[in-house]
Amino acid sequence: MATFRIPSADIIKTIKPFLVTVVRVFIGCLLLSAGVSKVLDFSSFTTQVAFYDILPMSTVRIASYSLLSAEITIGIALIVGYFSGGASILGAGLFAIFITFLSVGLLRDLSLEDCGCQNLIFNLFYEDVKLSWTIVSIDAILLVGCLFVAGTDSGGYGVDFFVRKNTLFGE
Amino acid sequence: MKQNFVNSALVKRFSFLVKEIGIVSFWVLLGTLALFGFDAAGLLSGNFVGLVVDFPEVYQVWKDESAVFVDGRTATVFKRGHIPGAINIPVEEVAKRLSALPNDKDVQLIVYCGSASCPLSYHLLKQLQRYNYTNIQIFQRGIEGWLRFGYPLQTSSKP
Repeated sequence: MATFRIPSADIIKTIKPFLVTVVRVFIGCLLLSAGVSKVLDFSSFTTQVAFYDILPMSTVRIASYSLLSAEITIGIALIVGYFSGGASILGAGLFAIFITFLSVGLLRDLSLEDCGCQNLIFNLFYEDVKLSWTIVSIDAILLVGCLFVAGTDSGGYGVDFFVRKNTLFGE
Repeated sequence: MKQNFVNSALVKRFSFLVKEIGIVSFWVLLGTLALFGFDAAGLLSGNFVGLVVDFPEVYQVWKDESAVFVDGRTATVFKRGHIPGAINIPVEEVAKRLSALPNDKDVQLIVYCGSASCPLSYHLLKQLQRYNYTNIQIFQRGIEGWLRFGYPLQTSSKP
């Protein structure tokens, strides 16, 4: 009789660093592509930020610089796995900001055909990403992904591993 | 003994994370300053300051008649009240109503709609950009803001 065997702790321990690395690099690529595409179309992005009508008009410009800078910096840090613990916590914060903006926009019935959420993945499927709860859900999943990476360090395959002898887990 | 070890490991991990957050935040700040510099040097696409126009500039521009105001709402709503002298180009009829705009693609256009939360003017801007109009600004407060500041409205005019 076939019996179901729970994978041993050793297998989980082997798979986990790969999984963390994949999630980390994936989120990093998303953020970096989003940041770069917005920098290339900066005026559209700032207009979109202004249209959410959450920030005072005088702060929209500086907020746009900060958001783009955060996306690019955190994206690079996550891809190369350098300071990935801090980068992923900040990444989670960034996704929380996006979720707030999108949710407020949706609750106000703001029917933006282009929500300013363009990135590598979304752009494969849409020319303009429409503001919807689906996008909010995807951002929520990415936020959880960031917290997962934050809780497990760089997964052993990032620059962190080579630079530091002692990672967050004292490996 | 074991409890102390766990506590110290947690404290170590927490302080490590805080330190990393600080370092990454510093790089984000540097990036923000760099983007500010790029924008000031005109290296970023478009110029946000030129893209969104607000009071009192918008009133001055209207008074000087130095720009064409374009209303993105439907013809029915437009007739009820709009900025005096504005042209009505509903977003879904841009191609049809394009002849109402000046032929000069460099003319200054100010697009608006009902209120700050109305996205029509943004869509209108994107559509007009597709027709090669280069000098477009958004008056984001729209009719609601215009009225709130006590400026005059024109009613029942042809679109």
